[in-house]
Amino acid sequence: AGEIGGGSGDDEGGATGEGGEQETRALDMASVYDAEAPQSQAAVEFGSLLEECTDGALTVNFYPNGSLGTENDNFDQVSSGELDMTLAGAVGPNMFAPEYMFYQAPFMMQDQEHVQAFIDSELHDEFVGAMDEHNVHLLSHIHRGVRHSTSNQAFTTPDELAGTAFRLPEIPVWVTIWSQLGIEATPVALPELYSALQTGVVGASEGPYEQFATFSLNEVQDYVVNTGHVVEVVQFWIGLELYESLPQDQRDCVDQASAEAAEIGTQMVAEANDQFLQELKDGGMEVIEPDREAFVEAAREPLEQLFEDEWTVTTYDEVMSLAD
Amino acid sequence: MGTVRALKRGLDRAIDVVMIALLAGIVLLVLLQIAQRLLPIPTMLWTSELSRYLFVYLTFIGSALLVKEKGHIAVDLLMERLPARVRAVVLVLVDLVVLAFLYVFISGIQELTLSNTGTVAATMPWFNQSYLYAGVWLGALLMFLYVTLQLVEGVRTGLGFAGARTEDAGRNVERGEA
Amino acid sequence: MTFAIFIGLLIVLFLLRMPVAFAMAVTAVVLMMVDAGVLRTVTVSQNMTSGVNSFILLAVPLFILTGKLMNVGGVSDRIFALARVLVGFLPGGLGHVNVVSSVFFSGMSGAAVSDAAGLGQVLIRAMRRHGYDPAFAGAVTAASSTIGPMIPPSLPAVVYAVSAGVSVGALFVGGIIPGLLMAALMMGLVAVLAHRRRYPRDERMPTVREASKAFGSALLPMLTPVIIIGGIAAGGFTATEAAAVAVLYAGILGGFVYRELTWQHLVVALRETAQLSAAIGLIVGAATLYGVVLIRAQIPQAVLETFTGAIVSPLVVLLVLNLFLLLVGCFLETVAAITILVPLLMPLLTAFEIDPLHFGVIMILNLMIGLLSPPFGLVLFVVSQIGEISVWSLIRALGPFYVILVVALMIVTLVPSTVLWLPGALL
Ligand code: NA
Ligand code: NA
Repeated sequence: AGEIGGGSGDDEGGATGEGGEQETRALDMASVYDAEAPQSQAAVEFGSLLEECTDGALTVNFYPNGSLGTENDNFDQVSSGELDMTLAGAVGPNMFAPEYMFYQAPFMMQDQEHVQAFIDSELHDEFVGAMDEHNVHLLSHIHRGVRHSTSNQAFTTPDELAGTAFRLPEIPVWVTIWSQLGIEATPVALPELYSALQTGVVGASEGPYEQFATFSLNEVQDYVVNTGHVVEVVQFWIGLELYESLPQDQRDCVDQASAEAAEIGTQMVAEANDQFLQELKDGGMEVIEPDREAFVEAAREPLEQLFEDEWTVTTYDEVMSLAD
Repeated sequence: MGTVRALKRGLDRAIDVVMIALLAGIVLLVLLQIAQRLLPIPTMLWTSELSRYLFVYLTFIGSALLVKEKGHIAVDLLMERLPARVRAVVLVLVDLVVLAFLYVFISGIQELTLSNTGTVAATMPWFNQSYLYAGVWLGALLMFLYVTLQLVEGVRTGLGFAGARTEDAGRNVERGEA
Repeated sequence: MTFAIFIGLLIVLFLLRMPVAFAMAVTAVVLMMVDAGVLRTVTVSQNMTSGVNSFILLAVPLFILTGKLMNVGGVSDRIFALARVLVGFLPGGLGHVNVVSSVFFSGMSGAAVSDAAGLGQVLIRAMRRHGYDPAFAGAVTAASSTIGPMIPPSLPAVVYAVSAGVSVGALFVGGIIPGLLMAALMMGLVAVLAHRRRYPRDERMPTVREASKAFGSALLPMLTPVIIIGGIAAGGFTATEAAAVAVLYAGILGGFVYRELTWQHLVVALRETAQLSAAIGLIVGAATLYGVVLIRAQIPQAVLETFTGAIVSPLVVLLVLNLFLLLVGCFLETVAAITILVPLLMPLLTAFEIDPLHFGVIMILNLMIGLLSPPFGLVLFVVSQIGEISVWSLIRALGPFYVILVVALMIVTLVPSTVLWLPGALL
């Protein structure tokens, strides 16, 4: 294979060197994030750390920009053993272990420490086990920052937001909870977000600062409202069978490199987020600190209901108590 | 023989009706999506997702009938210059390769259908993701069936009496716009 | 080896008349097996399915349906009549009428092929009757039909927007000036050729009464683009949703205003649209798979590295890409070309700070030229078929039009504001 396709041909099954000295293997890792995004840079970092640790026995081919498919596709491919790794968010857990999805629900987790407390808990070990059953093994988390809101109408409480057409991703739990807060949940495809806000199809949206800035929402929205409703994580995932087939020293390297890369990623994301917020302010947006308690209070009832119906592995109070 | 033909005609017609219904459904759903914003009617978040799925069904189930209708976009430059006998052989070989591909496609879709039974659609809790794949699977099976029928026909007429399929050549281009 | 499969096998399968979608899918599977040594069935099925699973893609069947409803609803004849009143008296009258009709019709239809097939039939017949040589009539029809996807609505624009993640609305508006530029250049060419070949024109200027009658009868269909762009700009709906509004409008016009659209017409239009949409859908799905396999075999990365190693300025990049796209346009179906190439070229655009909106219009224009070029130009075949003109004489007659289109392409490439100014001003 490959007059042109440089590294191709050695990415499956571990081609053995001529003299049988050392097996080298390139792991394919896919992600939907932009190549420039800090979490993607962390993935590249993971590749060099892993190569260094294994003396070149393991390398990583990183495919950003959704070039190997949607997050959904990537998780299916890792699960079936056709893709080695993915750097991705909540889509996989939503597919394979939806009973744990509370940790990415709006107005549930308070801050990064709260999420970290969950990651360190036994509950999280059970979650990893549930994902393992689908051959999708969690390696480490990058804290991707917090999701906030944009609006043309200043608001600090749910009441002031009532009736606003609000763009949400099509995640049923998010829609349920935001709808309970009184907004008009409106689905708009992400590429249409800018024009939908500009023309007034929707009047408000939510997402990370990164999204607001890269979509230039400062041109079409007046306020950034720090609702901080979801504390996001992006994870390194690897096929469990592949992971277990690696010799122990290589497996340790995978663990170590992914942990280090995640830490670097978390740091880079934080810096980038500061920069994105500054861009938005420079672009003329005003930042509002809302009455977050009012939102948390309003979301409590629908969240508790969800724990009864879907997230039956634990309770609202138990997850909340992790924050203390 | 007569019953087989009647069955096949029934199947053709059924797919035709399903395709028209799916397209009409897409039009209505997208109109409904606009209406719910402009008119005082309840928000129905699922319009966008469901309309996408209908298009997926339309594509794969419709692609089966397109085999028979010679409606798949293809390019005809070399083939019309070949002697009829050679052309008949090539058409049979092409059908065999397509069948091999469909076999691969069907086995992958089958796996996806079975592995997604636990995943529900984002905006439709009653819609299991495996329904989406099951529709694609059905479409792929029908495609397999139609290509097989075409292959049998090709072997019978093309290889038996050379040139029986010549009038097919180029028809798909004419149908490119349709 | 991998590169040979990527290009070679695909072309061989195309030549053997394997449908485009299957040819791409089969090539992808073979490439995967050669490159990776395994057959990943879930990857195959998953990517083909999810490539089709896109809301913006729904604009494809909706805009096709609009065009068909307009065609059977008596719109083509009305547009022809209006264009004739406007420019029929110029030297080479019907040639100009042909171009201007395409401009009008492009506001209702999203595909060059539906323009060529719908309007083309009316116009080629009329031009032959008036003593134009058939090859010229076909050439004007074919060339002017490529204006269709430049002016909104536009199927290639929708597909590009899906692949590149840019706003469909902005891309729609961005194509308007380049589309009009193409029309102006073509009319200039028609005038020159008409003068040299002494083509006829309508003998007298239309009377005010004739003109206002033609205007009146074509007014409502001519409002379609106003509804589409106006509706998007006013916040009534997104570009995809606008396509459904256009269907509704075309249905009301044909069914209730002109009363030429019967239930039977409607069913036929739905059937034909459903079939063509399924065909395009399968191509988009197969192209998605093809792209994924290609990227995983590291082919685009290697090709781009070769490119970037030698190239320094964005302008040179654009010119090289133009050459590349013209070549691609000759071999690949429009939708397939866009879905395959956009993900590959995006990094290059980012690296050289080329606006993806600008590039989108450039890419579509390139592929439109491809629709007129051998060996795989779809419009070429459609016009040859409906006009009963041989492909080779059509290609010969198209000669000067290729030149004109490349001139338009160069202007659009060198002057980005031809694309970027209007979306900035309007949206
Ligand atoms: Na158009
Ligand atoms: Na024309």
